[in-house]
Amino acid sequence: MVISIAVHGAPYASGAARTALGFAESALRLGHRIHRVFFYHDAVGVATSAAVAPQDEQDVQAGWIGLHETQGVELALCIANALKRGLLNEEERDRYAKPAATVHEAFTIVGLGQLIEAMAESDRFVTFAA
Amino acid sequence: MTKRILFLLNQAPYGSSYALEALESILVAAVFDQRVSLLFKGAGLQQLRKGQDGAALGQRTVEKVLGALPGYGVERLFACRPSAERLGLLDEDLCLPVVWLDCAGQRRLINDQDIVTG
Repeated sequence: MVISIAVHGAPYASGAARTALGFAESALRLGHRIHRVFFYHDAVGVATSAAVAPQDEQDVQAGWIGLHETQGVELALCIANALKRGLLNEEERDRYAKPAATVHEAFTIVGLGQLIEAMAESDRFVTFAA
Repeated sequence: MTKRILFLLNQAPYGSSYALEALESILVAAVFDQRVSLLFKGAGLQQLRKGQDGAALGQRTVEKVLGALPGYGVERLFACRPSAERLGLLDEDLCLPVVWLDCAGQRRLINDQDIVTG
């Protein structure tokens, strides 16, 4: 089955990203395909390249990056939500003349059309709310 | 492929950017020819109140964005009657017409969707 996932909750204020990661790992283990993970609202914060996870806690960001690197899972950030929260890749840094790119390279910055495409083209679309 | 998508809107219009950001995704879903329905619940019903002005908060006015929905073909608007009763909201308080649903009606609406999201 082709599954897409939306994550809405902020990385630490909400358990959404952690719960969604567990769901994605289980789905892949069971042989399903993850078409896209779309981070929306404050969930885009999981993509910051400068986060240092506490040593005695699960590193949720590392979990997502691992899924991208080992299984090719697409990690997408809503561009409007990302930019206003200071999450920029190199292209957006240059476009807006900001001092730094702040998004880990495993994450891509995309338009909202990609959210709707994921809904339209997946067998299941699962939202992890704030 | 066209999907039946229900957006569950349970966040207050102001105090966070949640409501406005959700409306942005709803408008894009409509542009992409999805069969969009909205269900306003709990504090989310306050989004429908007439006479809002977000300028005092330095925000866009949610009522104005909602007003654009019919132009995008989003006309399946549902609202939770028990929430409205708790908030004391009546039809004449709302900026758009809605179909009121009790809990059983909301269950039927949700069961009739391909996707339920926020």
